[in-house]
Amino acid sequence: MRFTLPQPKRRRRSPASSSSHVRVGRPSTPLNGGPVAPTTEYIGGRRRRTSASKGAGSIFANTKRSAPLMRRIVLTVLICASLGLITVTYRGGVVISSAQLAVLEVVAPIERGMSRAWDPIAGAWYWTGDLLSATTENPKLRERNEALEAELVIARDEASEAVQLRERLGIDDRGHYPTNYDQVDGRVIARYSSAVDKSLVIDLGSNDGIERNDPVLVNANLIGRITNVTPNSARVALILENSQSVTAAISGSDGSGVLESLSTEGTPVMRLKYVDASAKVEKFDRVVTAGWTTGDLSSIYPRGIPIGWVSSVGLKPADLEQTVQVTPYANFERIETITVLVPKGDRVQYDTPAKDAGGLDALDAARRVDPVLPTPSTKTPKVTPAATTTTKDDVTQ
Amino acid sequence: MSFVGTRIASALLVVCAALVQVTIGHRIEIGAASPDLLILIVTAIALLTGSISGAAHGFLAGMCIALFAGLPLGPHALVATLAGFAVGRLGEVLVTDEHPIPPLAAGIVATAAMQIGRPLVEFLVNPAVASVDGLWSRAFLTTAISAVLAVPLYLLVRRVLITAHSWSGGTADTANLGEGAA
Repeated sequence: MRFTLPQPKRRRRSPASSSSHVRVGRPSTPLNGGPVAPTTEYIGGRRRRTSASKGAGSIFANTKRSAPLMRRIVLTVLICASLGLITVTYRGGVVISSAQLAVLEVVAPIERGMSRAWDPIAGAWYWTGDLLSATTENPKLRERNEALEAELVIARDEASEAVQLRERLGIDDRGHYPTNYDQVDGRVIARYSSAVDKSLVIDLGSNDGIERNDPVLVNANLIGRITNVTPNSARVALILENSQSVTAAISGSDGSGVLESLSTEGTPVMRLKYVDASAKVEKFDRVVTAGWTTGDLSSIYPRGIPIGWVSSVGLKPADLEQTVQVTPYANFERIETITVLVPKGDRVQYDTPAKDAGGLDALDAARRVDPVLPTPSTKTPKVTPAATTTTKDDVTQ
Repeated sequence: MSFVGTRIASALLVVCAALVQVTIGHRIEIGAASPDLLILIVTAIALLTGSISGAAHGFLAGMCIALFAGLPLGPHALVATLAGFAVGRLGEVLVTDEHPIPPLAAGIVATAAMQIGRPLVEFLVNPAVASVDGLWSRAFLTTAISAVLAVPLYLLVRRVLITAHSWSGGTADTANLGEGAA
């Protein structure tokens, strides 16, 4: 039995034009767009093409056959254009980046509309998936919830005590998370995920007070930072990207290091590098942003944003550093809503080198580690007009 | 006129597919993979319209996905151009309208090429990429999803192009679509 694709319905036409491929006043031949005669022949059960049937599989038989020279020229031009774009993009082309942002700004409302239209279906999809795992997860979550409630009481006491101590010691808590940050909620309107690309576009932009390098959270857990901003949309670089790193500390320990993506297959795993061998690190320890400050430089992430938990610790006798693997708290496969941390008060802005070119952060590509914006010797901070002077303490980002 | 109308329709199809891909396609997670609707649309267009058109639409698709999702420009365009061209040549060599195997095979090959070729380009040009995790499992799953969607999407694209062709006053060679056989 031979399977054939369903054919489109024949359109009824007037007798004058009843033959869709025969023009009035002309003889019907394949050369002038007429019907192609069934010229295929079966030899040994296989279909052999004859010269007359070349291109006959096309709807547009007269346009499908392309001259070899033209084919080569077009292919060469397109490949050269692609290679040119790759070169310019990865070298930090500002023009390309600007054009990309302009297009993103134009399509952002469309993406927002389509994303919202799909929300109910996505909700049903996720709900079905969650339902299947809820039965097994429920007892574990109840147990975990009780433990967390107990921890919360202790944490609240310690937090109020910490505030009092800060006031007594006169510690400037500018940049302290979360008290000195506004939290702006937004939605993901476009995303792309492949073995090497992980990108989110959100519906917040400079009109919402968002700026480049603002931290992005999901359920209070760090997932990345803003890399490109348009008035109504922004791109988020996830901490799972190969080009991203975060300085992180282990809560309740003196261990700290640089967190980088190790594996994104299945449950993502990150690696905390440069953790001193003498640091006390145990499995299930919480990993948070380190939020360090050195002189005029500081991390773009404030201290204390939860990132994940220690899932594995390894230390060989001769090692100077521990091998610490971290599992992020956030579920990167299902990010629908996000929170962007916007510093309260005046922002400090810096002259930065070329902005992100495409999806690659040129600055991070050079530095790789938890981007620290420029060194005081080469860059002078620009303070927004509301502030008249800049001190070291102002430089929190 | 019909040529222009068809090309406009196919280009719009690619742009819409790219928008659907970034807003909806990647929210449909099956295992660790999502359906790659865009490359299937490009594959169908390439099969139906030839290698030059396939390459051009592949390039357009690569540009659209990078622009709409804020990805680096170029790598997607390069791989999709080559995939579109190769599938277009396949369509020029094979009679495709009478059997589901060519669209199915082309969809599978193009998806696999995209899933492997794109990370390969990134690995070659981006020094920050030290390894590519989950490449094979993701490529396998995405290709399996494409195998399911390839033929329906091919039929959809063919319907759209035929409609656009007839609306713009073209005289489609419908002998190859079954009408001529009657």
